[in-house]
Amino acid sequence: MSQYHWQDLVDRREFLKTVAGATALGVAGDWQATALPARAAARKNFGGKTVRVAASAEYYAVAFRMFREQAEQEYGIKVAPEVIPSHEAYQRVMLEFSSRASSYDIVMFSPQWLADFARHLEPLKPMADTAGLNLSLEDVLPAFRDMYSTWAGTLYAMPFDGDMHILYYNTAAFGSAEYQRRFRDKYGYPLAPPQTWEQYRDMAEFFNGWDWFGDGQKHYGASDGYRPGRTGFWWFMGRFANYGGVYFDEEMRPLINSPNGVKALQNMVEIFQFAPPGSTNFGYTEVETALVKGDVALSTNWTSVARVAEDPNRSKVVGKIGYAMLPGTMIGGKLHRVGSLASGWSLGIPKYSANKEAALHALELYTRPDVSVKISLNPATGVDYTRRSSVESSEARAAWPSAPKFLEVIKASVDVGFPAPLIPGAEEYMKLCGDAMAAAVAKTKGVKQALDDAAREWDRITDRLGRDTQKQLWKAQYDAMKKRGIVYKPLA
Amino acid sequence: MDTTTKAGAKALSLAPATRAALVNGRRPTSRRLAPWLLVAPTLLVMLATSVFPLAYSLVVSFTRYELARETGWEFAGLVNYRDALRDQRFLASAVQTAQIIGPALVTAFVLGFALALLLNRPFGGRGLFVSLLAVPIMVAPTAGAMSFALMLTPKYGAVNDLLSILVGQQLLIDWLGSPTLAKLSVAVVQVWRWAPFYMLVLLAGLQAIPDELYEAGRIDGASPLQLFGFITLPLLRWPALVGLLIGFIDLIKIFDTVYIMTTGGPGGSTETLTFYTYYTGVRFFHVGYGAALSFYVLATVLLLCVLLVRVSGQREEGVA
Repeated sequence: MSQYHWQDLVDRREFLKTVAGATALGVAGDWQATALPARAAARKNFGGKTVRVAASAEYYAVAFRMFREQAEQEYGIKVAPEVIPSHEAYQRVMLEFSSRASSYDIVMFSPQWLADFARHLEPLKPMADTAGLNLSLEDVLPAFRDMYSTWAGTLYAMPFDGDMHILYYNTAAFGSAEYQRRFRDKYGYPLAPPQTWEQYRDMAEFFNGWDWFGDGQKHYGASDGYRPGRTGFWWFMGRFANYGGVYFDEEMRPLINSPNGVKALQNMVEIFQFAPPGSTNFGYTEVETALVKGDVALSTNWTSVARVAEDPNRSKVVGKIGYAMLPGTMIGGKLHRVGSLASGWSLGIPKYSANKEAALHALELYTRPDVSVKISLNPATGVDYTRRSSVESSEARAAWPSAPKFLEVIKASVDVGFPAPLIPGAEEYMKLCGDAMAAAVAKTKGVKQALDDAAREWDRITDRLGRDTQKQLWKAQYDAMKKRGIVYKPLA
Repeated sequence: MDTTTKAGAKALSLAPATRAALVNGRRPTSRRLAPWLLVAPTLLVMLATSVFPLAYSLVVSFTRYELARETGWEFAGLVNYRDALRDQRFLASAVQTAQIIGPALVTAFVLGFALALLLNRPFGGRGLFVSLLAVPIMVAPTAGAMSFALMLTPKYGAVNDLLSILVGQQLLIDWLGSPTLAKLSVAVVQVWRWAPFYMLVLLAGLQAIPDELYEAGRIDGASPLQLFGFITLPLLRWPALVGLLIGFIDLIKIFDTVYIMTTGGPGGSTETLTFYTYYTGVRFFHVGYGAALSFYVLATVLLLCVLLVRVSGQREEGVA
């Protein structure tokens, strides 16, 4: 048994209690208005100490630069963001951690790495209590706080970028009376934002390969991410979750190759033929570009795309984009529709930092409600809302005319948000699943074959990490998911 | 040491220790150590940067060492090596490596040879022409791969634009989107990098062939084709063979182009040996298993090195 597993097991009961309590609180009161407590009055000054931040993209570094002066004025801290590309962040940070070192005082990481990173991070709550800092945790959206920042009952990180996937559609295309008539004639039901992935497929097919935008160019049906590895996994996860799948059964047997997984991937493979050329290597940026350049009628992507779509300097579709939750699936005569909490980025303080106290103060500043909302409203940052107060703020609602609808979609999605795998080795499980998706899309393997192979690889990872331990940790995650209303729905 | 030398040593006014060493048939200690001292810095650097890491990774390859999980050095014997032979992805990556580098190597060689033959005659600006053709060798492989990735973009890439102009209609070929085209694209980048190398190597070889041999052939009534077949080709055999082996040894380690252009996709179709080894050992920190995979790659490269040394040795014997 590896070093941290026994600790996890010792704390598991506490973890379950905490998750259960927090989840119950969250489900009941995610959107109840909460008065934010006043900030601590005492201001510590660190006399110009530099806090180095590992930012996983340039647009996150932009966010840190936005409030650099404020950090210096308030706490006497010089914040120095350094970009580690997101696809290298796990290995770069983990490599340092493995040698009991860190070049950074704050590390930005994806929540699915928390199981691997936790033993190298400082628990935040005791630090904040000692320093008299208020992290305004009650204002953080519960899904991000309880599932994505807490490990074994201990808060190790503060959510910084609250990611989730939603559906985007071009309202010019969907609003055309002629297109609506033609669609109804062909498919027998009205053209409206798709409720199910089957409808998404039909609409992608309908809009593919002709000039529905009226600019003399050929346009496409739908843009999604098909890049191998973790990137593609997020798009698979959105479908898999909505086809009623969960990652493992109670005995830790993989369910990605269950009928739920097969149908989800089959849907991706079908829709791929209505995607713009080059989509096999599309990730966040390329999918975003396809939408904001008016190349596609439909798209699924992170919520930060909405701000770019409304930015006249970057978008051809300003005022022409509608939002909805990801499509669902009809299971047992009922529409099963959940959100997809695709990654996100959190901030943690390595145990090996030489400036932990200064780092904590910087972390508090960058995640406090008034700062957080401003960062999220800047289209240059790519940061999504993590706080209830941000989503309900008047600034967010007034950001563009259709912003209130966008915020409603966020609320609805996060309430039933399906999480990434949050067990040790999550990065590798996800990578292999994303590779299987890409293999099926590229037709180097059949859908079932690709998922069966990935499931075998998942079993190998589980065995390598210790099946019993993994099983218990998965059970803890699954219990937390069940409490948020997410359970496996077997398909025939 | 013979008696004359002993007598000479006595006759010289040497230090007693030196004289004793010479009398006993040994060089003085300081003189024996001098060569070692001279090469010591190089030896130390090599030990630290090559021999030690190699030995370390060999030891690691016999363990279940998982860096991210702090599993320690649990001895695993040959398990990692056995598992590698059962690892379908590893075996597939070996096949895919061959599928990419085989055609790339042959095409680069043929193209380089053709260019060398064209440039092996005097004409104005030949030096400039050779220099320009050699530019791909000077471009960092990563930069080259990034440029090709941009040029091959379906909608905005230069390749599809040029082809569209040529055929008179808009083409949106997804060069990196299908397994066959992606392999072809990666191979083309290797041809672009390696053809100039072969051009330079073979051009040097061609220019080293004495004109007298061709003159003698012409006097004997040989046709241009016979001159090529009986003089040029045999005398280019060694530079060509050495160039091919160097190219093969380098190409089997193909990584940067794949990492930047396809990240092993689509559907794992361009996942090469070193790319898979990187993912296993460096990305997911299965250090023990990754080390075993890297030793399979190293064994292949070593085999080729031995072949290269043997071929060179045979040549020297032949010349002697």
